[in-house]
Amino acid sequence: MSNTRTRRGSSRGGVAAALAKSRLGVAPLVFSVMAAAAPLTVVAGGATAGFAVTGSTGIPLAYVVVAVVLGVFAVGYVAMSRRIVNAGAFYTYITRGLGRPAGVGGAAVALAAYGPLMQVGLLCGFGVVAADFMTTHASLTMPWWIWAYIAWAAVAVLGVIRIDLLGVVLSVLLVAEIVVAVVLAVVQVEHPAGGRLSVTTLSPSNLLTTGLGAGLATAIAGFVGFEGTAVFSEEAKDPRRTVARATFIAVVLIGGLYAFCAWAMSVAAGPDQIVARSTAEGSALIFNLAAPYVPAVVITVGQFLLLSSLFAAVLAFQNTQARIVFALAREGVLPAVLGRVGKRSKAPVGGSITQTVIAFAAIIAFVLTGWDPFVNGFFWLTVLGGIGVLAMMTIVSLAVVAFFTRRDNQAGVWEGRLAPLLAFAALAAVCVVTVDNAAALFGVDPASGTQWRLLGVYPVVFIIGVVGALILRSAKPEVYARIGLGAHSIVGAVGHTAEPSTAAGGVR
Amino acid sequence: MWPKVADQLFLASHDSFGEPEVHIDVVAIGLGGALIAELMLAGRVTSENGLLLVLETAAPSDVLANAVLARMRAEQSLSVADWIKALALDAVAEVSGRLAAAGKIRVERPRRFRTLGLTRGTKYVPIDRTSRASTPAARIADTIRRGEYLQPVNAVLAGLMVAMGLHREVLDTWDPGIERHIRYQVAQRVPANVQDVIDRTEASVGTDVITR
Repeated sequence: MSNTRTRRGSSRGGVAAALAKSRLGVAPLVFSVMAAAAPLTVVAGGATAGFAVTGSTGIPLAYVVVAVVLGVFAVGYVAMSRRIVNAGAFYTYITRGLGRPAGVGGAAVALAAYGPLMQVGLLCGFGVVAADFMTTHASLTMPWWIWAYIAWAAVAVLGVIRIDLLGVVLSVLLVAEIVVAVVLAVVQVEHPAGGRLSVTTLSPSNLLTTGLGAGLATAIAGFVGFEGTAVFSEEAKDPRRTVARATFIAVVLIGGLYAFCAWAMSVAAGPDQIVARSTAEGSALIFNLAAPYVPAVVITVGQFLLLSSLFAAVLAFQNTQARIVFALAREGVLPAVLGRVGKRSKAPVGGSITQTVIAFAAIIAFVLTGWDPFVNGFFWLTVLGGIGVLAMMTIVSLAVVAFFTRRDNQAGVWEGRLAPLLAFAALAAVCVVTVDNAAALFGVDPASGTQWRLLGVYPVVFIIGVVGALILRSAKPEVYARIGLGAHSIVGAVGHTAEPSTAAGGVR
Repeated sequence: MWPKVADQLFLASHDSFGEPEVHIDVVAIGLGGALIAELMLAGRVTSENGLLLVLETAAPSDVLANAVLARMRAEQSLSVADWIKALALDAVAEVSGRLAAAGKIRVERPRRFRTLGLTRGTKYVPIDRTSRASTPAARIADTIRRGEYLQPVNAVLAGLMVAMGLHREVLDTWDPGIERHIRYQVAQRVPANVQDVIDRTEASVGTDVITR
């Protein structure tokens, strides 16, 4: 509701129109979620990691499959967003469909997945890519964690202040990174390995390999962020259409771009070489494949945009985490101090500072233990974060079905029953193959048990959330009653009618 | 006398240099709630199941309240929550206009670079800068410190300040008990329909924080 955007409503019948005009349309929603998806990061880092880890050529197709599954998921998800206009989204929906304990469990999974895993992983990635970039282009050699801390500090500041211009800058960079990704892909398709255009990586048989689960899990990690649209349902121009359109546009754009770019790389490298070259060259492969055919400046700009893409994603997940913490603090599930808002910036500073502290500690841990920032940091943590979001989407699908099964919550058979059931089945299947492939996905020895220690974080935090909710139910029933209402938890609350203990003798 | 809750809230929201104490968007939402609260306290509107209802009564003596009521009469099916947001669009300009017309503030507009966000925006400088002790915030803090009940209009004002998080900036910033105390007084002293407006104002501020 920035003041520069407001217009005086005309006197008669114009109030609703003026209100609608002040709200968010499709484009700003798409932009805000695409930044979190970080297209160039996914194409350069995610797709190549996918080829390398799975050893399978089915990655382009995996993106298509995931886009279809998430599109089906989105049907029930946006149907729910029409009924529950509340800026909590995921955990709110779980609460309304499956009850408060499951809702808080879901919130705990979200709090683990977005901030401590996804964002920290992206920070590690930023550090590594920045160190490479600066060594090559500025002859400035510093360890990765210095660069990670520079990004960390910038995001820490941007999380508590508000710069109106920043949104414009990030949108321009986002468009630029998509343009560069498409340009590189077109160049790669025009210069196929061996001079012959190959579509063999698009054949469905590629998916039926042992690396299927790992491929789908890496692909899903690349989409994380698109689910953010529903958070804006209350402030959307047309609650029935805006969120739905923005969500589907985001899924199609992201999926199409990833599939095309991943396929283009397989064409340029050759289907028989793509796995080996992805393993050897990593995130440099997308640039290496196009470098002989484009001016050097395109490659440099592309590498810079990869950095800005990583940075935008780090910032986006900082804000995602801050919002969830803020909503939970408003409900009273988390301490009220975490719901503090910036005096001048109106930013959820309580939640933002929490994440800043977590990220600071996490980078120290990487420095002290000597864990590899790219494999153990960027790849493990972002994929693990993606699996957390996958688990939440699976639970949300079930919650949507449960919600619309109740007599007073009506929806069409497709959007209220069939689509969410189908999505649940598909997402659950992806969960199963992911768990089945876990050792290969993380590239660890199955006997080491590392994969279970990584995946085990989610059952543990989910149970902590459920237990926390059950404790609230008996200790603070008035808070328990407000779970899942987010910013609206204050409306109709009964908690503050009790006389404060200090009242009798004055406040002091 | 028309209960000018919005005027009091506007003055409480700005420091003696005319700078807002919280983000101007939050001020706007608070003022939106205050304009509805004025009409409710004066019995011109009420709410039912979250929907705003205009009551057929005499026109308000206040020009701005009259204009707001006319808008509400023209558009009957909007919720209280929608009205808070709709009134917030113009509330800063309208309430500052009412205060300026009454000679209480002076509006200073910045000349350039506003759209780039390089200036702090318009300043609303109070004319009477000498008596901080007589500001609405100081009176509320005083009453609560003495352990007394607030006048209903002041309780509404205090409730809206809490809804905006403004109490942390202008009341007793280091006493966490004051927020609970104000919520208690609102529950005791403020009519239920106005309490609902205050709660929805707080919800609206929360949504704005999350989505902008």
